[in-house]
Amino acid sequence: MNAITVRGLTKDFGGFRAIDDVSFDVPFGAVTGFVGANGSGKTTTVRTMLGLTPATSGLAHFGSSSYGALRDPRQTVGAVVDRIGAHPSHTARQHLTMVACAAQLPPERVEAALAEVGLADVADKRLRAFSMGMTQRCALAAALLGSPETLVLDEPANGLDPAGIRWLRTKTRTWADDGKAVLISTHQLAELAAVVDHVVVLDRGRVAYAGRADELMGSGQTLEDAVFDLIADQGFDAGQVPA
Amino acid sequence: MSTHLLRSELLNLGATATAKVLLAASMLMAAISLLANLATVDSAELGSTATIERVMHASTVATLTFALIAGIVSSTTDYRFGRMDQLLLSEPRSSRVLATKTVTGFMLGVVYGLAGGAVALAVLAAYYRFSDVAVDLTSSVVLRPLAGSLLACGLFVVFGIGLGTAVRNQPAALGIGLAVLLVLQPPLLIGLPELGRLLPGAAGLSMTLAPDEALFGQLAGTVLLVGWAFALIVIGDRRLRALGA
Repeated sequence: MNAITVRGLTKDFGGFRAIDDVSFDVPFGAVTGFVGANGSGKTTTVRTMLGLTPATSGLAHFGSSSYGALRDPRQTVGAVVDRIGAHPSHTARQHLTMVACAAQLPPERVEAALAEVGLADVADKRLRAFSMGMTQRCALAAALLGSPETLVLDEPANGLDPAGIRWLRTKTRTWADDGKAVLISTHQLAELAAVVDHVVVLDRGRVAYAGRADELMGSGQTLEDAVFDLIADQGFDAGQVPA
Repeated sequence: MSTHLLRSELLNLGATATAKVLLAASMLMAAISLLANLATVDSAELGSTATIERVMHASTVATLTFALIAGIVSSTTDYRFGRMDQLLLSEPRSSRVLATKTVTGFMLGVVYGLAGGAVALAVLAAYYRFSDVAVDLTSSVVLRPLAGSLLACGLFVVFGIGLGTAVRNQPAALGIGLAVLLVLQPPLLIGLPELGRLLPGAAGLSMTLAPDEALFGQLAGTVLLVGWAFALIVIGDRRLRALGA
């Protein structure tokens, strides 16, 4: 069974169709890159999959259940969404303790998650004093709290310094090698190329490609070139932000 | 509602500086309102029941206003900083999240009522002792409005949470809430009392036995404010389901 199955996912905002009939699978034991230009619908897809934005039609299943029907959602799926989701006056430890408490996770998981993302030394610092990279690590810690088998990460490298990006790359590969399913939404194609097994390319809300990354790249082509060629083939100027 | 979510929400309230600042401000305003009203009273009238009712009312209005603000700020802050995302990732059933927020909001409101009541009693006791006027602060004239204000503050925070969840935008929700309470209600209570007394603020004042003949009794006011709070929570829940976090 796939970790994630998305079928015909569609979301309309008033008269604007943000994502249209999006379908793809995310297997266990692999890193699946979710790529596309800014405004292509990546974040809307992720939020709709997680039930944070109600879908107009279609489904997203984690195993055999929608996110809303999962018995222990945090233990099944770890998610980094577009914002950390914490009050800036809270410390990292306070934020993670609240998340752990809401998800019925033991307090020990907070310390373990803080250590895993390298924030143990600054855990009592207020989030408003965090750099973007530290905030992103804290968001990752919240995703890892439940030791989930599936990770859905929306732009997790945003704000990370080069050491952080390297750390994330290594972690992502390790998680997948340990059998976890990792869906990583990003526009940093060069970074993604180093770890990705499968790719889903979104173009103006529609899936332009879903399959193995090496098949998309062919021989000698970089992931970046392959994605831009694909999007250009579909009549889209990659430098232009969709309306 | 679930107990783990309730614990998480209580941790959030305890850790958020805004909640503490608003509580301190409400206590300060309750004291200032009380003293400002006492200062205008002729010394011969200080011990009268009418005077005590009037000054208590002034202090209660300040506390109720801050309880409403606390409810609106608490819910709109969840959207402002994306905290609702984290809550729904832990508990995807939005009605459970909102039910928990309703309970924690009510508890927070009771804390506002207790704090406001304690300040009112302390200020009254000190002022009457300083003025050398003997007043029984354990009489029903003092205690019944205070008891009503505990419940009213709880319901006002819940009403604010419903309003904040429905509107989401913090300045807009605060503007609507305060406009109804402080701008729309006073002239309506004078000009169209049949309509004015149906407003949530008037229901809250009924609960605190405010000296206004246009208002309902304490029980009817309670029923009305429960209805307002419930209606706003239901509207907020509908909006949350329709729009997501």
